[in-house]
Amino acid sequence: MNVRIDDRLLKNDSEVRRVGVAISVDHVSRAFDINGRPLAVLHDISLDITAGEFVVIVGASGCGKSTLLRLIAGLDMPNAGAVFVGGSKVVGPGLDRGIVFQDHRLLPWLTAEENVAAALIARGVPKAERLDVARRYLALVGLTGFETAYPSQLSGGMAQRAAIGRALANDPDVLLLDEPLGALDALTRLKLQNEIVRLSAKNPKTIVLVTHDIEEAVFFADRIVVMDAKPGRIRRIIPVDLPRPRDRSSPGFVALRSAVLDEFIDETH
Amino acid sequence: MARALSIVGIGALLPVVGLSFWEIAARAQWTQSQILVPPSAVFATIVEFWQSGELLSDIVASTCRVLIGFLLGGSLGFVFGITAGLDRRVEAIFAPTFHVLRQIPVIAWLPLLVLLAGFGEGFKILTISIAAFFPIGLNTLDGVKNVSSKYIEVGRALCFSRRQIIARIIWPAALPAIMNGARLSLSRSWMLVVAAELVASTTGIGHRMDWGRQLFQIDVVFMGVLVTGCMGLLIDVAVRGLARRASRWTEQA
Repeated sequence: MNVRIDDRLLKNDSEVRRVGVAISVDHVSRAFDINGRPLAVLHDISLDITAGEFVVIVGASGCGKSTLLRLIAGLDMPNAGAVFVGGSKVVGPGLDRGIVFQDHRLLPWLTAEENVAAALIARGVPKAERLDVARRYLALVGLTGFETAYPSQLSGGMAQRAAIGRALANDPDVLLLDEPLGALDALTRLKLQNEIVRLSAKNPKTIVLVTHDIEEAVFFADRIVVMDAKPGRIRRIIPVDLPRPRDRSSPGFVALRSAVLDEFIDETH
Repeated sequence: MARALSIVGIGALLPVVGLSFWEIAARAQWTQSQILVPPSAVFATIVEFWQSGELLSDIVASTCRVLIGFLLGGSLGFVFGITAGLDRRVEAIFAPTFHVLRQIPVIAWLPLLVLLAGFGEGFKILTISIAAFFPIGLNTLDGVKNVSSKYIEVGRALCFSRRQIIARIIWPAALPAIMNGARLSLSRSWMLVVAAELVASTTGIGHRMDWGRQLFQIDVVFMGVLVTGCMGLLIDVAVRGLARRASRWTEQA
């Protein structure tokens, strides 16, 4: 299909790769057993992500974008190929990677600060110190005053802020966001998008975000990875070279958004 | 507080009306007053047995059996539920038998248990243990197995050890179900202590009722029924409070 992307917006790929590679997805395939039949969800995916880069993966549902993120997180294992984070092969979850799910997944029997503090348990940090760190991260995500609130007492947006705080609490190199704003209303989503930009500017990390919201992708990404479904594979990688902070109504933003949208629509043929 | 009182007041309406009708029926000789003794006579009997100390010693005897049986059977059920819930191999070995046995009403065991354990304390403790074993066993098993995999995945993502996942995720998530099972177990234990004492005992509320039946002192039998109900309610209210505290987080979620 013809691709309508303004060449002036494209960043030179080799330029990006000069900085160290943080995440390397190397010929990864993943199939699931559906009623005794293997269903290929990801087929021979390769992708290098540089340190400090913000990569957004978009694609129709069923393209395996969440599976790819889970493989990077170490919550799932590939059938073929390997994922490397910081140079070492992923064999399971690690504290070098923080993950935020679509549903906040705060533990309902813990308060907001206890939920964030739980991120430090595996490192053996004493409880008082854990709570100290947790309060700092709650303040960072704008939840001061809600430290002792239970998840059921928080709004969806606030709960997701707390979940982001939990993912950040170990100061991981890599932040993995699995449609973190997908379940929120439009206004809350906009607010949290700005919040994520603010957080990533303040404390730069390698970020991989999965979404089906094209505008969100253009707003965040250094590169947008467009995926195809059945089996999931990378269709195209679109570098985004718009200046930050990004203005959603600027001509460049609007042009790129519609270009990605065209790519997206072509894919569903 | 006023609202709570008014709810109690509404709840008391039915028994008060019922007892009044019963009293009138008995006094008017609509029924055989030797069998359906009037509530006033039952009340007088309760006062009499309370003052003599016999009622208290009956309650104490039954309560002790319930506590011992509940602790034995309940803790076994708890251990079964936890281990089978956490380990599929244990579940595969024990759960099928467990699910067959739990279908059998404990009352149906009584004749066999008398033959097996005789008429002594062992028989009653065994009966109550069986009654206590199944509800907490079933609820603990289900509670542990039904912990959302999403929460367990959070533990994995945070690099929790197996022990930390059990202690910090599975345990708190399953606790409401476990407490509910404990409540059911205790309530069943109380029912079965009376049943066991009716069959074979020389002490306890059930024995008092059997004694009343044999001497045709129906007021004593009614006293037993009343005391059994009230004690059951008392135990349930106490445990329900504990269960609520453990599952407070589930209420708003």
